[in-house]
Amino acid sequence: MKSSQEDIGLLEAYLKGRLSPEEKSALEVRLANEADLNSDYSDLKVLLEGMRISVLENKLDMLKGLENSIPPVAPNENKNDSPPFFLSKKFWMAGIIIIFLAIFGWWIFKENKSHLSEESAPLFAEKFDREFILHSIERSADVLDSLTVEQKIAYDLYAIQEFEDAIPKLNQLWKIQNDTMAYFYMGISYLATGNTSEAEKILSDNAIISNAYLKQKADSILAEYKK
Amino acid sequence: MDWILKIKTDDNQALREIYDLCREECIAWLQNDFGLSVHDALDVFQVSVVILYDNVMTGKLSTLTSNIKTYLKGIAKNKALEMLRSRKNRIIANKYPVMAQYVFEENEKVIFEEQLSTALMSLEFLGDPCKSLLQLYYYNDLSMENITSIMGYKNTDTTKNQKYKCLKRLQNIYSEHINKIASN
Repeated sequence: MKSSQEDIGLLEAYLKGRLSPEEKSALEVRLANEADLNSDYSDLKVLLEGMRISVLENKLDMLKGLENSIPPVAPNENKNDSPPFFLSKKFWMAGIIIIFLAIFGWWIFKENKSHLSEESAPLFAEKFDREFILHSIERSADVLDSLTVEQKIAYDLYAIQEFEDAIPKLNQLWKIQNDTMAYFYMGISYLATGNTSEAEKILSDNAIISNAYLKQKADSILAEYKK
Repeated sequence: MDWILKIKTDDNQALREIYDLCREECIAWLQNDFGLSVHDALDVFQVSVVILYDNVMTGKLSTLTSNIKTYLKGIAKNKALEMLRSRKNRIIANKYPVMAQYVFEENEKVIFEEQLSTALMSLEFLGDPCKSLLQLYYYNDLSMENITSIMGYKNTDTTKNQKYKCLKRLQNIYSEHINKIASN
């Protein structure tokens, strides 16, 4: 170090940002022109950073020593040595299982909708097409269909045994158009889906039993069902 | 609690208190939010406390606008991400001590790593009492009166002379080493 004690003091103040604008400008001119002063400035800058590292390393050692003197940190069972949860295998496995169960559940639900109740299944398997479809299910290009669009939809749903979907449509026909056939089909649909009390209520209703043909059908179905 | 004043006046005690206050919460947070192991979380936490200290001492942090834990978590978050990034990119652990690496990165455009590691080595070579005297003056920014009292010197003139001599000795050691490196 070739600079005087006074110049070293000036360089220190410069590095710490404590010079006035005038003093700073004057020193910068000297640094540009005096090689020894400039060399001391460069060295001082590096040495000060070296001192900083040394202090910080000492503080880190002190904290490590402190850590050794206190009870250790309890490991976090859930997260220890594992990536964030959304990146973990568990997360993806749970996701796949949930999606699989949702698809399976939806499929079961869909299948069950058109399934007959356990009690009515044998009866419907044997006799439904022959005895429970009372409207014409044959379509012809040259014969006009006498059914309305709403009736066709509701009756067709009934005919293909989609009872859950058919019931609200048949109910509409009964309520709005007073369609006795729809009301009868609704009773049969309730029977098929296991709602026996509602089925019996409809099939023994005056609207049905006042029609001899429907009464005979309803009586025979209920009698057979009760066997 | 004025943590900045506390760090400036009684640094070791302040660091111990901050360490105790934030340790459990910060380490659990580092494990939960960044998936760090206890060991890594502890490393990141300790380095973060030291960086907090450095920020106060170098004047980067002059007023604490948030809670001390929040400020510390801000540093720890950056350090944790840095650690995860270097693992992802398979960066080999640096040959220098962790705090040296931190200062290197801050100075990389101005000072070479080799110069800083030589300065650090020269300081170790210089030893005490010179090393402590220079650190108290340059890093801790203590007054000559305070240093005189801490070091047990007769008066401030003695301290000033001693500081100048120590700096000269340090620079000689440093120049010798750096010239050797240059000639190789």
